[in-house]
Amino acid sequence: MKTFKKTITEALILGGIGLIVALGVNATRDSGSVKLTKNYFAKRPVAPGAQTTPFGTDLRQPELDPPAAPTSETGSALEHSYQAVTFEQAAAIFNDPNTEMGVNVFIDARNDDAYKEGHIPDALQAYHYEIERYIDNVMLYAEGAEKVVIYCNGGNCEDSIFVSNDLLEAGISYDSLYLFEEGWKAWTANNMPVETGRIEEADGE
Amino acid sequence: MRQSLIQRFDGSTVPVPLIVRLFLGGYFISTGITKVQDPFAFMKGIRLYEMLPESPAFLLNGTAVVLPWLEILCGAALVLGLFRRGAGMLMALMLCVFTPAILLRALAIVQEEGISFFDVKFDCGCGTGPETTWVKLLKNTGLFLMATFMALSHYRRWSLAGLFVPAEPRPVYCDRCGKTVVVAIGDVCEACDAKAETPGPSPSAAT
Repeated sequence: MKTFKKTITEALILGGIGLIVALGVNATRDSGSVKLTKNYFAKRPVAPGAQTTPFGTDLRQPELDPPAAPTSETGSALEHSYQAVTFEQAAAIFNDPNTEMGVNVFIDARNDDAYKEGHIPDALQAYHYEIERYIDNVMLYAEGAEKVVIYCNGGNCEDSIFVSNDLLEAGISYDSLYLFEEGWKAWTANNMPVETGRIEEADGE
Repeated sequence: MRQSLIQRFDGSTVPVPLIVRLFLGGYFISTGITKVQDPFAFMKGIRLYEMLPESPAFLLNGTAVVLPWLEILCGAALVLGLFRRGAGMLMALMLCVFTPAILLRALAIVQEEGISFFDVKFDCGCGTGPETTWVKLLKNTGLFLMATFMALSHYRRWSLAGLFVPAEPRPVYCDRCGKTVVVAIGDVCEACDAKAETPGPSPSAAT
């Protein structure tokens, strides 16, 4: 019994030290600091006039073929109210000469390591959980863009939805936001061009 | 019976408790560091289990911040040999929560995707990347047994506690001489060589 009490005491001491160290490091670290009271997974209200389906809508862009309802084939069953693009549509936007001129923008919603390892060429990074680090740079390019295509890993990855919410909140038009749900997995599986490394600060143009 | 098994390990000529202590400690430090490096990935991992509500947010966020450091701290405690039993107990508790959660998530995936349980593979947020679930469950069971052993073991050799904190006399079975002896410090078999066999626990026989 004495040993048991001692063990419990040890566990409590370790727990207390762990709590102090964890909160201390979290409060002082430059990147990866979690805001304890922020709900990172908050659902956004549907944009006015948006037609909500479990798989998004594509009713505003007649030049794009209607997206296939993502099923087990695409591995996605995400719930959101944004317009969705299939891999073919994303590839068409990528190959559109306007994209190179900055009319269309790709946004990578994955974390720093994943982005550095490889991303769609010229895609900007916007990691939802530290969005304040990226939003100014992203807004320089996304504001006024005709199509802002947001992607993450694909499958059940929700980060592209959260980044879409962030961009909507920052003032990007709902009509210009497109979710590429199949995301990075589909992009690489189809041997599309990949860029590695980090795109540094925006040049402001 | 359990006491006897722990005593046998503690008194074994192969330093089983030391090996377990270093392995378990190193493992927890390694997985803890992975989680600390990307707390958001860990937070997303925890969220998938739907065990914590998203509101109030501090429950989920706080867990994602504190748990990895607790793992690192417990791991370091084992490696250093300080608060070993408390660290073992915390590790066992953590595994008691994680392992059934992984099992339930795997069963949910089986139901959702209609695949065999043995084909289920996902990133459990454990800091080890995507893993085949049944292998992960086996590993966790092994880790749980090791953590429980640490919580019960009295082996103090090569530990800071052994250097600085005087031990209390206890009866230990010595593998080498096949006797139960009452010892107060570290190596059981040294005590076995030095002292006569005692029939049972007796503080007076302690040195």
